Amino acid sequence: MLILTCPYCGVNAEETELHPGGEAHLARIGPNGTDEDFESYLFARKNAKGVHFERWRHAYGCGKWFLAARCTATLQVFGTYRAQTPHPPADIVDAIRKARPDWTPDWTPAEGIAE
Amino acid sequence: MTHTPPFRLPAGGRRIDRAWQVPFRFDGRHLRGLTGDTIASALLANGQLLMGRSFKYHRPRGPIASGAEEPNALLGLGQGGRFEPNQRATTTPLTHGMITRSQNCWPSLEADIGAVNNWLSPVFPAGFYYKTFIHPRPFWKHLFEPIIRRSAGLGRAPTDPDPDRYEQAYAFADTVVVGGGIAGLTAARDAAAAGGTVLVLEQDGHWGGRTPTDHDGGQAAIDAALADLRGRDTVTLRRNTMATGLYDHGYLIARESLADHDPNQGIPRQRLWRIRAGRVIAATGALERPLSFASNDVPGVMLASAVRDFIADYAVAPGRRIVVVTNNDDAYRTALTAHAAGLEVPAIVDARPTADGALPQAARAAGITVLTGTAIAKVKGAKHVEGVVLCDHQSDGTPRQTIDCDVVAMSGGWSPVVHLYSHCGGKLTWDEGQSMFRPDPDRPPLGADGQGNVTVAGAANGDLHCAGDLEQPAGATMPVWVMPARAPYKLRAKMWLDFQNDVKVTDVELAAQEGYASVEHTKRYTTLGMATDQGKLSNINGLAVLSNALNQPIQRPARPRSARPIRR
Repeated sequence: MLILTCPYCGVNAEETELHPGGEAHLARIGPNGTDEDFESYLFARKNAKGVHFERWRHAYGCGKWFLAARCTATLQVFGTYRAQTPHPPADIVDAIRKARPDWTPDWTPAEGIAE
Repeated sequence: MTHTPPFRLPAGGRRIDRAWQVPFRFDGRHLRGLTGDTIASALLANGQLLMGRSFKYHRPRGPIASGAEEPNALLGLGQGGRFEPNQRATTTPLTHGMITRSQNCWPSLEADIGAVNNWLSPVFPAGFYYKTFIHPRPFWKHLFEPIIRRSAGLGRAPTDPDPDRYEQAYAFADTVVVGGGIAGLTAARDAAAAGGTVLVLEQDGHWGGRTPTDHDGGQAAIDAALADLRGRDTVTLRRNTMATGLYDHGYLIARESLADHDPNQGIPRQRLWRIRAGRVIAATGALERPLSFASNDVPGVMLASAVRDFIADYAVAPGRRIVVVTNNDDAYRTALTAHAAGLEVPAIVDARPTADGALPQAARAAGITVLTGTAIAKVKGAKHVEGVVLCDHQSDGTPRQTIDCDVVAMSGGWSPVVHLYSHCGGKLTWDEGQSMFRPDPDRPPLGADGQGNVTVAGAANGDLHCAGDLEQPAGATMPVWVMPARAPYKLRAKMWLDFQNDVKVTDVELAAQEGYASVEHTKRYTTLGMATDQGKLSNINGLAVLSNALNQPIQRPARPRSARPIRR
């Protein structure tokens, strides 16, 4: 039973208050994408042992979607942040790097859209 | 040697009240126990040593332990909708008019037809049904499986709906201490002094764990710690509550027994606690390990600590002549307790070459014979112990002498209870000096902040002397996995590792020989540790036998993960 802090209302919410939404930061493949990209967007999911980014909804609280960075192997939570961001923000990346020095992001921050 | 009355000792018994007799029924017979008895102690006080039949070979079995680790003394309790199979006689308190029934035997416990399996045991090795019933193919569905299904399962399922009520509750605490022994109470006092709310859970109806039984002044130390805790507003003490599992981020599940087996109280029978713990201190103690010698499952062979408990807590003599067999100093306490209670202790059989600690010296001073470097070659008797045949420990079991006795108190050392620590990913380390797995402080289970959220205190941490300065340092425990050391196949085929599921030393060796190098595969193939006791007694001994068969050090094949929930 995880405890995640909702970044909107600040409540330390238990898992029973939350609704899981699967992997975070999936890029929508539009009508111009290839079949392979669309299939990957629909079905291919990371199954990481270690650092992982997830969507959660504070269903029995403020009702908003947020994102969480946590370790699937040790249950450590690196932080939660609002959902309107294409990549984890710098403070979350710093928190992960502090706990997992050998971890590297699998995206290039430059291609992210400015907040 | 026969089993002779009286079985209730004239004096002593910390937990019983001799003024109040409690009538109950066992297999239709009307018996009497005393207030404070467990079913096991009440049955022993009536001379009923035989309490069950083993699952596979239907061998006669008596209680081995005195607590939650008991694999043999499983009874059906109650009737109608309140009938409950597989209840441990050693942990269930005796209540007025209780109806108890033995299991896995027909037509009766004494004369069980299924015992033919015991004579046929050479044709039922580990995994026999994976190999035997393959051909011809249609026979599996129409002949073999129906027969196997009928003989499978331990105890009968109740037929009527459960009439009892149950309830759930939530609790929050900064610190939850699991275990109300001296280590738990001390840790709770420290935690309360440091600030924050503290919740203390004890699975038993009594505080103190082993401390009052084993240590002079133990009860006073427990009473003092309890008085201090009761004087604090921030501390909650809860007995009869067993923490059964620890889940993510300090989510602890516990079961509180409110009116078990006493349906007339008009209150819910049990309460399920969902507890959010800031941190957990596991002071869950340690369990004694059995020793593997031939016929170590005959009724009357018990753990040394259990013999001590029955004598000191319930004033019950499991027998009149008690042979103690050990590889450590702690079992000498049993000899001293039995001696002080007026029972005969013809010999202490110690596998170690020397025994010169404070307890062995006290035993010698009391006039008890101590035989060092000696082992039990085999136990004589079928339905109860009649004697032991002794040999040198470093030998192949050539008999040296025979001693008549009706109880064998065995101790193969102690294993910390590490389930709660392992549930959320805490890792264990092999302690060579004490021959035990204990929690590795460098690899604890982690909380949301990445810091360890479970600490371990006392015997659960491998500190077997946490009861304090009451004791001299004990002599070292010598690892003894098979007794005698070079026992031939004939003896190893009679050494039980898992008592409920009838797994023997040779079964684990067969699994190793057939390529089951992983302990989880061996467990599945032999059913070692898959009984209702969840391997509390058998896992470490089985693991050691497997490692020896594979010529690996014991820490090589990873220990089986502890399953949730812990059963009581």
